[in-house]
Amino acid sequence: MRLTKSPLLRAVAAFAMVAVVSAPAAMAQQPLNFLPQSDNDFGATALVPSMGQKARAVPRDAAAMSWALEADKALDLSYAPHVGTSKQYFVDVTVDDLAKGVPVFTHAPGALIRINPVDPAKMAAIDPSAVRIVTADKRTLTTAEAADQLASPAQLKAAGAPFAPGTLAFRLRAELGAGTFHVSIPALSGDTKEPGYVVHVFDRNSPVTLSLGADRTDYLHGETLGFTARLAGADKLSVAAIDGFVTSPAGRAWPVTFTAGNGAFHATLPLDAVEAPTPGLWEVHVAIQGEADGVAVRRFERVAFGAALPTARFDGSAELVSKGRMAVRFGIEAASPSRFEVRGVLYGTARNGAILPVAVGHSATWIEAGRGEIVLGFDAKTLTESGLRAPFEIRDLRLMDQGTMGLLHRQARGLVID
Amino acid sequence: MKRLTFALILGLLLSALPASAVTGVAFVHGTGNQTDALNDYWKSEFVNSVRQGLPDQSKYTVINCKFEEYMWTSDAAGCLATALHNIITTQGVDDLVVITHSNGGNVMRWILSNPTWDSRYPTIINNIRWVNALAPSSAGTPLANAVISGTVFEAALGWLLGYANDAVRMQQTDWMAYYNSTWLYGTSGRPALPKGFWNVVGTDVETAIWDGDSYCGGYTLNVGLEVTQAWLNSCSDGFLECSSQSAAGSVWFNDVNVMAGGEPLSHNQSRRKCFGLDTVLRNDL
Repeated sequence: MRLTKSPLLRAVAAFAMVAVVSAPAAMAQQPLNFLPQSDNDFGATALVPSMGQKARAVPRDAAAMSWALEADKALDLSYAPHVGTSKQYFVDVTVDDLAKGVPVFTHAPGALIRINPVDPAKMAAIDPSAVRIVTADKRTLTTAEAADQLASPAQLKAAGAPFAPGTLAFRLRAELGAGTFHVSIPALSGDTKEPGYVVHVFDRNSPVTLSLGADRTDYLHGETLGFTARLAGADKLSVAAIDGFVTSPAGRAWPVTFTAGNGAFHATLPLDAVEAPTPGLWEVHVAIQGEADGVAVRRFERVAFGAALPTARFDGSAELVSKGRMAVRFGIEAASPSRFEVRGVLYGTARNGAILPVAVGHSATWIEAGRGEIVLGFDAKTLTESGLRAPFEIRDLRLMDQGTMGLLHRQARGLVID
Repeated sequence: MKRLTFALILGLLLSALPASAVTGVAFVHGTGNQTDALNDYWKSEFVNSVRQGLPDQSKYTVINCKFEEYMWTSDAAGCLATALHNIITTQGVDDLVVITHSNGGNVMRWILSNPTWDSRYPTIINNIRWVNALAPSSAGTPLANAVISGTVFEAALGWLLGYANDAVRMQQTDWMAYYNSTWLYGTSGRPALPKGFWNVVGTDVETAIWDGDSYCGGYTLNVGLEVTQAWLNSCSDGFLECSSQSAAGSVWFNDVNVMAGGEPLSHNQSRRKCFGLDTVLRNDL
């Protein structure tokens, strides 16, 4: 434990914080070549203009900045996508369903159950004393008898938990065991067709998990999305059904079909990202039903990923325009006007030949449809003080559209500066 | 050798700071739309205690922004930037300590990670000493995943009905994993932030009715957290797992190692005058 923060770190940060001026010092321009892309790199080949208004009001002024990085802190440029794991599932039920009893599948004792109204404005808050739980051995219990922890709607609200108003949450007593319970609110009446409540079951003590991941963190329109789902955590596992769908930030949805192979389930979908710019992420959702060691299990998982319209790309030209600041002018081709940003990490060579990070730099400017350029440079003093020398490299090179929040190009090793 | 090192550090420190730094402090709230965060979110006894550490106690600001929006929006980061830029440019603060709570850390980290997004950001970054992030939701929380739950139809309804706001949506663990890999800095394997981001980590929730410590910050606020903690792993403040609170920047301290009596800070206590937290923050100024 360290109560006193390092003054050295504070000093280093203060030294390094120098805004980069866009105009490069005059020098003979040195053409540079992009390195070949590696497996997890990507960038646009064909451009598509953005649709409609930008996702935000975009300023038109240019801005740039760089700051020092600690040379001994290695960066991870593998771009490994996030893999989500789940021990839970959700089901939406009608008022009639909940009045009669909703099956709750648990694989291990001590599951957490949450019931919330779909539309809190239309549904009354759930009264904990009105809930009944039928155990796997057919005993009917109140929440006071079945739960060892319970939070009423008022308590959840007071805690600041952002659940829908009227939500009830409770944990089943471990001594009730596992298996199929039934949860009901017999006094309920109302709409029998539309989903009225969501029942959420968190099988927190079960080792059985559903993992789900996309094969990349980001995609461009026209590419193929790829997903892998896997049920694990028991000696004998069987899957009776697996359903999935993809959603876009604008609210469109596509079903995806998973097929089994190599101990997992895989799905692909051609990406249609042509829609009005909408803040937020794309998501893949998967629900699975099966058995683990003879016990019924349900799992649901959802994983977010980025998808963008390729509104601009590097046109392939790059020139070193200032050696003192390692400033590189990148040619940009844009399909629609926006504020685009180039960012990257400058690496240099140590005396022992190691390639180490020096600084991270950002540079953004407005570019109309057609050709433009962005100069990415780094603070000269930071560069000098690093003691690192050529060859330099710009790694983790990225092109972003600040108007649509699209990641348009990402390359672990961008280019070498001798 | 120790003397030489000390002299070197002192020299670096002195040369790095302005000759007469004007120190200030900003309090940045978490998720929610605030119009009187001083009284509704922090409580004045907490803010007034912390700012006693300032040479000039008038150099402080309590942020009131709409943090139900995505972190990058004009109502979130834009509003925060306006307030920080204002204290820097109108009050001459050039040594600003920013104290954030929960999702306020994400909004602050957006500014630190994206200096070209807004032309005011470089000025703000240059005049920040460091950020003290109280229980920041840097890697999101499984509770947000649970809130944004169910089928596509439910998700859409939740969206339309507004109780699952964009800030909650953004704090789902998979969403934060994406933003940490793309737009935000400071997490493992990613470039460091331009200024220090020091985490205060809440590790537990205590709600024993006979224990007076459970009442600090409001007993009723903690009861619900005891249940929400069941969604999280064993180290959590009832709202955020310790791994999320320490995912970006550096851990300053875990609550039980520093708070009076080794008390943990629940998610609601880490923004209140509980167990000496205010004194620790005051002494850091």
